[in-house]
Amino acid sequence: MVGLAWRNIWRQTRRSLITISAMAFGAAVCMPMMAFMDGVYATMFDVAVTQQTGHVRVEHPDYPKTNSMFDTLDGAGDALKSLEALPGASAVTWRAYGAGLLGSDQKSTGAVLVGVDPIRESTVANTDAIVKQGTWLTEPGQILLGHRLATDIDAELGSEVVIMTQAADGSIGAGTYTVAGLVRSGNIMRDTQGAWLSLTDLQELLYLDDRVHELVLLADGGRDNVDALAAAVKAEIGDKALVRSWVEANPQMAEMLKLGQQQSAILLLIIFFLAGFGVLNTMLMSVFERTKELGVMMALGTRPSAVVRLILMEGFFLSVIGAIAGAIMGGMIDYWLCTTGLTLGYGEMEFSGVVFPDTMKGVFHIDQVTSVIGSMMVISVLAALWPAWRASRLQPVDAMRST
Amino acid sequence: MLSIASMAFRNLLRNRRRTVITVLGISLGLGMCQMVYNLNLGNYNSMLDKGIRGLSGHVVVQHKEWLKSPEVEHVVEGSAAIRDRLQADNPAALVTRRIMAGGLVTSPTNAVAAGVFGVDPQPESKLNRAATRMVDGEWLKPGDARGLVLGDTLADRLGVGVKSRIVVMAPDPTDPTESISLLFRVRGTYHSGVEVLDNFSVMVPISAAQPLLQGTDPVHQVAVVYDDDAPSAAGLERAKALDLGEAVALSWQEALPDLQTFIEVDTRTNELFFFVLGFIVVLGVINTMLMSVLERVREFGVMMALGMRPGSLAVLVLVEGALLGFASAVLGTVFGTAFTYPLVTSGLDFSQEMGETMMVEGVAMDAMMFAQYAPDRMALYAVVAMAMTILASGWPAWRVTRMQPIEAIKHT
Amino acid sequence: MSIVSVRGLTRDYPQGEHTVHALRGVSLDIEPGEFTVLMGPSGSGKSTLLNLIGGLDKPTAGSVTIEGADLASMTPGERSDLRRDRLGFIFQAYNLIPVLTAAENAEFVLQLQGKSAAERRARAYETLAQVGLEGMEGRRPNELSGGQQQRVAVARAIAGDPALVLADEPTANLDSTTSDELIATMRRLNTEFGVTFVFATHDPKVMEAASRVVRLVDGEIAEDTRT
Repeated sequence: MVGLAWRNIWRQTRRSLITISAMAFGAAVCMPMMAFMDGVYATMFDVAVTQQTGHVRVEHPDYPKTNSMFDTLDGAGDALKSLEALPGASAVTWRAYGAGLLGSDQKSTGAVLVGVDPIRESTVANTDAIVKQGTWLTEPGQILLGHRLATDIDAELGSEVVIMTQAADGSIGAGTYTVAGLVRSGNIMRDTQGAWLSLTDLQELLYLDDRVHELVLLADGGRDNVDALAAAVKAEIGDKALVRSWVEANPQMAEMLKLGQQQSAILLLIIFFLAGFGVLNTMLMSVFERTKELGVMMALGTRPSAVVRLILMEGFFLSVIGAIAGAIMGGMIDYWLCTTGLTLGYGEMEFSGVVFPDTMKGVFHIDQVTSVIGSMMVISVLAALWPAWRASRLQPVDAMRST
Repeated sequence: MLSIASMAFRNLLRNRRRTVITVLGISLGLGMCQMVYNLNLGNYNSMLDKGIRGLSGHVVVQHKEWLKSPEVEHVVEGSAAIRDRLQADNPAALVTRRIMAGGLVTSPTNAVAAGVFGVDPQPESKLNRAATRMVDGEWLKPGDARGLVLGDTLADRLGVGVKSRIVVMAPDPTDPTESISLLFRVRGTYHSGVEVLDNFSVMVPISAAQPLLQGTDPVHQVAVVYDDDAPSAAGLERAKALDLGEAVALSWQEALPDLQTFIEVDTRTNELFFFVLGFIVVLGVINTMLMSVLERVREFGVMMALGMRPGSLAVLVLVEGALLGFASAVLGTVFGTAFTYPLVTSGLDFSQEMGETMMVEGVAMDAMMFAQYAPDRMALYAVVAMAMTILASGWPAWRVTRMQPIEAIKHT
Repeated sequence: MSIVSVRGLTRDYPQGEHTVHALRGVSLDIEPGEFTVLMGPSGSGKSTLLNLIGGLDKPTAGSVTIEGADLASMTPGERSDLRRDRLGFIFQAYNLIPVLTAAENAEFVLQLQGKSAAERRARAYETLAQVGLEGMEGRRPNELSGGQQQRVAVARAIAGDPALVLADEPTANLDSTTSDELIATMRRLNTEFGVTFVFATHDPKVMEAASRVVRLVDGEIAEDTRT
């Protein structure tokens, strides 16, 4: 029967090929589209989560609401050591924040001061990738500026900048730093207002002693293991501080990613729904052409259920060939999209607080292939159901009489 | 020739099921494309409207470098005179002045680096997103030089409320090594739903923000906004003709390039998607037409034997395609109109995914998106769908002209 | 002048490595008013000859002249027009256009000729009456019996006032009563209206009605008798 179904497909080579190419084209387009969207969401995830919230974060319970300099974590040093010992944590860092007037000898402006532990920060955030010019922090007295901030105040690599701020003890804190690098984080707020300096420098400037505002962890094995890590951190920290996963800290991001998956699903559905019409028409035609032949088969004792299976199998074969051809073409486009990337030629673009580069790269994931191929097969077998049912309802005598 | 049309029509009815499936395929595809475009049009128009009201104006006067680098020192001097002149030239419009500076906003308990916006209280009360979304106290009043309103989140962070005192510390425009401090009283707090406005912005009367800028009577923008969205071309002409020194008068199209680029890119992306759908549908049409031609080979052979020219047979096939396309265009437009309807009346709610708003190129898009019917585009897509169907009949039609009558008649 | 003048007509079909010689140098003239039957066993070349006369096929060698015009010198379009204006066809399998009614089938050629609607209709009804199908003008082919369908095909063939009607096995699908009636009808059209017929058939009844019998054997004319 398998052989019969296979041969039946090639009786009308041209028709089968057109139907197959519709499906293959759909698959070849869906795969890179999904890779592109995943690329967009990966960029957003990187900006919002990897560089900021972390997979799991620990803060003073009031800090998310107040962002006040005074809502620091108690005993952060001990906590850091114990969290670093957690098996589920691949990286841990801590940060302090402040605000101040930041100026070159030309101009100054308000800035968000991010105090980071240079070495630990590199294990959490993608520091090499975000430094656009110069280097990441290597020694005390250095500062990195958001690239738009640097342009605003006419600062460049090697410039001296002065920070003036209100310190924790109420006095006016001031310090001079050398610009070691310019940052292009993709976060439009940070790129316009952010200044990164070493944690100890910021603590000194703000009279914070050794206090920090947050501890940030990455989960071993990535996003899937976040919940387990959050539970482990909660057990470790207890009630002393607020422990949240990135989903709790940034629910919009989580919803946005879900929306992305829904979008992909809708895209697949629309494209294969239309391709399904082609399969439906092809299978119906092929059943009607073969009315006589199917009648003979049934007269010779073939059961209606076997006829149904035969037709469904033909639909299945059509989709298998379409899937393989589509996956090969889609894979080639994917390869180009993920390595070279698509240059739109419009310059950088801001969307939802994230600045996207002009050349967008896709992110490949095997799920893209399986969902495309899976939905294609399901839809084409569904589309073959009606013709199959029609075929099984033929009366052998009538069928054989038909021409 | 009437009967080619009527023959074509009857031929389509011959295999009703196949015709219906094909028409459904084309028209559902068409309807979806129309719906997606209508939804996007609604979004684009709402974004442009917000951009014009909040970021530029139908006509805007700003420093000639402002578009490239919106820096504090790129000011328009003598702003009151320019405003009066623009108001006289555009009596029906709102004319407003804006300053976008930055500073350290400090309360007794906290300090936050924030945007300091200077606005003309009167016209901005109709234009500014914050002015219509006050949650406590009142919007700025003309003549109240020490008044300040701020975002609710920022107010929480600073631990301030109505009547609290706030100091804005900012660099001295005449000497960047010095800073100046301005004292304000909080008149109200707003919740705009836009994170950057609620968390990192304060708004003060234009005169109170002018000390942050250099020059005489400086602002960053003087904007002319028409309420009925029907800006006068003459108003723009007159504004362009003014002698503005370092400043220039721009139309909103010139002043919002990023927003228009975004819309263009988004449109292109959608067109790519439409193209993909179209291509898949076209393959289906080719298949249908080819099948219908191949099963009538003998009939075509007879018609040729009777003296019908191959060209006329091709026309018959093309007319069949055209009828199929026409039916699909009509039905598809019905689908498109029906699919769009709930999006026009109830809208689509993205608040779960986006929060209250989402920033795109400086414009806050609301989470509730409404579609807008675009009759011209719907008609265009319908025509394109019909044209594609006719084109897809081209190959089958061409095949008919290649048939040899003798072989066609023998064909079973 | 002869309606058809065939000279040295040869037609070879390549079939795999062999060549089938369907016609080997046939010469023949058909005069107006003749009721000619091409007889012969399967493969004797009678259908091939008919198709070549109708310009549906091209000869390997030799010429076909219709009313003095050489088919070989015509473009495909001109041959189409010739068939439309001067020839009528009747096929074994009726081959009516299934989506058209009996009257519409009959007027199909007239329509191609560009006749007015009123003229077409009148002529279609007239010819249908001549073949005995009054009252059936509005029926579709699938609502007619085989004999009735073939009568519609005859009406279609004569509606355009052709100089010559070519009929390939017109009675092969019909039972004997029906085919008797059909032959009588065509014979009557021949005698009353002077329609010239050329048949390819091995139905002896058609031969009985013929005014001239041409017997073909292995692609050559073996016998040509006028009665």
